[in-house]
Amino acid sequence: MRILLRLLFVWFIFAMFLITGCKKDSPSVIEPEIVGKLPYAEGVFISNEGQFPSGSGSVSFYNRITGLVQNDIFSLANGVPLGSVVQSIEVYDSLAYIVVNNSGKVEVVNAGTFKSTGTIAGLNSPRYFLGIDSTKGYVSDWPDKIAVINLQDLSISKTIPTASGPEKMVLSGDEVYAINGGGWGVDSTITLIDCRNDIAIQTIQVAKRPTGIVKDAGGRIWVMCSGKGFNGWPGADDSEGHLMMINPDSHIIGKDIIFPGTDNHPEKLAINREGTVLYFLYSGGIYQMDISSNIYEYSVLVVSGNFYNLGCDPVSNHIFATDPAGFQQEGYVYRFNPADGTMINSVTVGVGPGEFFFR
Amino acid sequence: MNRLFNTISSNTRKALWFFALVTIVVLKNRQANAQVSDSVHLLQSVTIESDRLTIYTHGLKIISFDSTTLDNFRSDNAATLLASQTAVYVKTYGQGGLATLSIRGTLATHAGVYWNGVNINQPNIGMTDISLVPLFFFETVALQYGGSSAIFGSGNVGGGLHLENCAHFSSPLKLKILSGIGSSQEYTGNIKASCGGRNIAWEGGVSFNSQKNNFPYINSYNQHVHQQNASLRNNNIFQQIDIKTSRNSTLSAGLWWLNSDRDLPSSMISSPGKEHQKDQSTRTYIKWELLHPGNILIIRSSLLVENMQYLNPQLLIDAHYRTLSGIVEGEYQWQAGAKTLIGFAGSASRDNASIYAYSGDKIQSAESVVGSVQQVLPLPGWVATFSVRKEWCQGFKVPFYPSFGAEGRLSKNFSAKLHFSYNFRVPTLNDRFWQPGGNENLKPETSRSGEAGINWQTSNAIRNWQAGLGITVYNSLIKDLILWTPASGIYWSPENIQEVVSQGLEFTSKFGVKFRKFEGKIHAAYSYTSSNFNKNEAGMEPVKGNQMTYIPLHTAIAGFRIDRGIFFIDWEQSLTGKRFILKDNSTFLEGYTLGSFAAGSSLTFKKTTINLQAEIRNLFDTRYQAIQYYAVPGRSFRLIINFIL
Repeated sequence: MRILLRLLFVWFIFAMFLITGCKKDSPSVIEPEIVGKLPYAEGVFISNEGQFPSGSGSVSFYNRITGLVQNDIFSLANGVPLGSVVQSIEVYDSLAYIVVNNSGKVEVVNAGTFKSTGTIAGLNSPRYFLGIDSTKGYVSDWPDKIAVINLQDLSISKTIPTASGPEKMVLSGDEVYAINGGGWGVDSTITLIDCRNDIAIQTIQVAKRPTGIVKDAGGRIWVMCSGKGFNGWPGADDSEGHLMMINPDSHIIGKDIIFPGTDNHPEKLAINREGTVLYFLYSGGIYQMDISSNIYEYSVLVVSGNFYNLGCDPVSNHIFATDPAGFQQEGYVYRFNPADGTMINSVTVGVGPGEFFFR
Repeated sequence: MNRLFNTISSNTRKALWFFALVTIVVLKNRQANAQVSDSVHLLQSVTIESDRLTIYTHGLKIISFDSTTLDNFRSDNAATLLASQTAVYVKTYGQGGLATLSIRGTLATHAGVYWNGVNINQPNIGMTDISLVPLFFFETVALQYGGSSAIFGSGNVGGGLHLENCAHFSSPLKLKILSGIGSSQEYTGNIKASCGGRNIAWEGGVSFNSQKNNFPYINSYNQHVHQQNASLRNNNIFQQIDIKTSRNSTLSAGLWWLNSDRDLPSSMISSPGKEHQKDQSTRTYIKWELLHPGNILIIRSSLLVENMQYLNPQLLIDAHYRTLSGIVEGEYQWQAGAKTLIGFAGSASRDNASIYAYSGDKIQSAESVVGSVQQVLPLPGWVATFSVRKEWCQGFKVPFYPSFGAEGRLSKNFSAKLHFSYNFRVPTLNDRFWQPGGNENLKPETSRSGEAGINWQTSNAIRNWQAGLGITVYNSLIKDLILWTPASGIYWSPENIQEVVSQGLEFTSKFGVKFRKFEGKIHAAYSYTSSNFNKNEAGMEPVKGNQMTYIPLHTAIAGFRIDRGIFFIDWEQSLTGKRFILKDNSTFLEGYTLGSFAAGSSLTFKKTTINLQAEIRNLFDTRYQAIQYYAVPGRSFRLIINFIL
């Protein structure tokens, strides 16, 4: 009995000191392993949205030569987290513009070193950046505007009203096409902007929920309209997907390819280096469509995968696709051969990989 | 026979079960009226909830907080109490923010929260925000470790939190007034009154809590900033009335109305948002108890209305949620002999949900019957209980769920417990009906768990000290765990895709001594919680064997309190170990320790007692993150004054 009591006293003293002594001054997160070396002159940037709902997003860098990936390069270069929900990344004039959606900001870094050079603040829910010229850029910003950014001092000089949920933008001459996906709802328009005067000049009606836009070799604008509804989740007023081509001179829809059914929706859009083949996600896989001829028929390239987004590397013409693996662990990027859809390799990137920028 | 049984429709089977139950109740009641048991001590409990918690839970580890401990936390919520006084893990989004309970490595949906025996977990999410449970109103707060679905129904997989009130018959008017003021513009005010005659008793109170929560902190960018959009205002009204309708019967009714209005702060890496949430709960019950020697019959009906509104003006979201749950329960206990107690219970519930993301209103109903036998064993001080539950839940097949527990003395100072159970949790309404993603083909989660514990207690009446040690080991396997995963890149959908193996060890210790004018208490507890994924998931990194996210492997508490006359000091320390935040266990948050210190005095003037208490929370100004990138306050202060008339 006495031994037990003595042990009990020793335990209490031990417990108090142990618990008090374990005090940590600051939280920390395991730093990602450094695989390669700076700078990031050539390669593929991958924006990773981050863990849902509280984690930080990140940027990964894929080195084409070594085939290795360096994760979380913003934190490595700057020592701070990037922010909540990294939506996209765009490099323009040697600067990388990292759009951090839930933080309401765009981090601007040197694209070679990833050292921070400034922040575009004051945004609501930014989605994509588009460089217009050396003095200004556009940021699409939910719920319904495009912010005109003065690239000299990173201030917002003006806002251009759009329809609901502006997303990706494409520059065509002096005009910018901005698709309006609807945000948390559904929209079916493109806002056409005169980028000399930064004013919306036309609203082009397309099909519901545009999710991708590219410009082809002939300067024609292709828009992937996914349609209302979710894959495998039929709803009463769902609509089918459309792939639409807009004539850049007349702004009229010159081609409208309709996908059958209302519960299988095509998503996203990428184009090859030559601007002749479109790639998109459909039926759980990756599909392609040659637009160099007048035969607009799509076919499957990769049969299936848990793909979230895709891109085409203009250097290699390889198809890159992301797999967020549930947003609860590090995600994957797969690389496919455009000739036959075979997978070349896969790499592990940050949590929730979404968009690419090929440099 | 089996074929014949299978041909009977499920409704017919339910009817047969209820008929059998009612027949047994009636027959046994008549039989018992003619006999007087000499073991009525087993039936002294007067409420259905305490019956279940004390009579049918032999072998389970239950911590019931004593009045001294509860009095220290009267102005707090249940999350603060449990984080400070137990080694269970409370996952909290910061001061006043959403707080959920993780018992033995299970999820928040695996912990039942019961108010006077009524499960108040919201049917759409299957959990309760315990930051909205004020401790001021409850006479008993108990934490049940280990699942017992056979006794408490669906969702009691990891354990449960039990909040109870008692009737104040033959009691003069008592009035308690508590008010406090703290850092970050925290104000609290509580009033509770109770009185009772021979045949009627009443207890009622109101509470008010308001916090600006604009505390300073250092964010992840090493900037000194203030927390934004984190204010809250909670109001509660509580009423209970008990009427002796005859010499042997009591009619009770209770009301708990909660109104919470709070901003939802963004993480420190997000832009300050304007998210806002309003919760309004109306929880009521009416209960009739008939107590005869050797027999107890209890019938209870409860109605729970939960309203929630989520507002996000930046994204133009104004979402409304409303659930209405009605529960009717009957329970009968029969003292079948000097050493045997038999209990039967049956319940029927109906949840009605009107939620913006559902396609129309949804209804889910369930019926259950429970049979229990408590037997005094031919061993010194040993009692065993066996229970089995059968539940019929709309849309699911739920098999029989048994539990068995026993406890008793090993020697003068040593006692032992063991408990085995099969448990289940039916999917929540959100799991089934949320659009898009809801999956109506989900199966209930099931678990099997076992635990064993040894306690040592001793005391010395001459030297006025007492000491206790306890150690419990447990193991559980949860199958068909429901996880929401991205079905496509756009929406998430729940599936029965995982298994979780939880095993661990819990160690508790306490010592109390009186020496001259001093009275000292010291306590410490430690939990080792290994909670691992048991399956790999297609297309994912192998996760089998990985620790569940946000389940710390190590948690511990230690503290002491010294009273001298009218003064006291109290120091508490808690440790939360590192928590993985990704399923692949590649990233984690460091562990942290928190200290709190309180000092106070208790002054008595005639019949009035005034307690004054000063508190320092986060004593060492620890900088930590409970949830990644969510701000928590550093050192903060509070003054409390409590009048008892």
